Amino acid sequence: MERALTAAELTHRLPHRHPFVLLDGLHSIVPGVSGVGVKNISISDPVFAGHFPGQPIYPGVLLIEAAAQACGVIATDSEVIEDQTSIGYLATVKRFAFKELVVPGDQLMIQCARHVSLGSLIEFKCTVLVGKRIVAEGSVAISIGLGAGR
Amino acid sequence: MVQRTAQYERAVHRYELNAAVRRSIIGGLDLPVDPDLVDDDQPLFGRGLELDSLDTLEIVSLMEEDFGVYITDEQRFVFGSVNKLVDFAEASQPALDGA
Repeated sequence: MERALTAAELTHRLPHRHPFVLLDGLHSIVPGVSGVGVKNISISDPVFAGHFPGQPIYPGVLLIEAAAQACGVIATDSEVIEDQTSIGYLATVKRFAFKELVVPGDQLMIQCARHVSLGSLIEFKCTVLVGKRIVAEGSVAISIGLGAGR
Repeated sequence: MVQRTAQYERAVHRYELNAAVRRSIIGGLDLPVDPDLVDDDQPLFGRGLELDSLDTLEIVSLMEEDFGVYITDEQRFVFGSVNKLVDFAEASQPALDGA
């Protein structure tokens, strides 16, 4: 069954904290399989102080991190991982391409779908959209491991 | 002149499939090795090609993308060598079987 998590609920599922919780929501979650992360890009994000002064562009590396956070939650969802101290660690990044600039005012939809898995490793294919435009796409692998006693 | 029997055709098909799998793995993992120098019975892990668990996941991905073969946790034995991978591929994907 598909589920959704709000930003507040995500803080209970991610080990990250401000300012590194990059998702504003996660919906259409099929545990262990797929989901769609939501990320609103705001000019008030401190990253724009330096990236770049007078020309705010959201860093591609943070698009990968946002996708990895979404995949981590999908991979360790309570319906597939009984031990809720488990978290998803980013293990590999493959063929990520950035096709258009992401700027303040954009709302990102980060579509994540499991491609292959083996043991505690799951590879997801990720497509980052603004409206109907694909702004980035690639794959990340998540390694499910024990958290640090959250 | 070699008579092109069904057995001969099957041997050629198997030789080419092994070569294709070697090229897929070596290219996909960006290994600094000539695919033709990898023995089909050479271990892929440990003292073989020295692959690790992340490489294993990449091989699963490559076999699915390049050959339509899906490997699960129960089939880890296929990572023993190229021959074991191709044996499994032929058994699970009839389109790859040259018989």
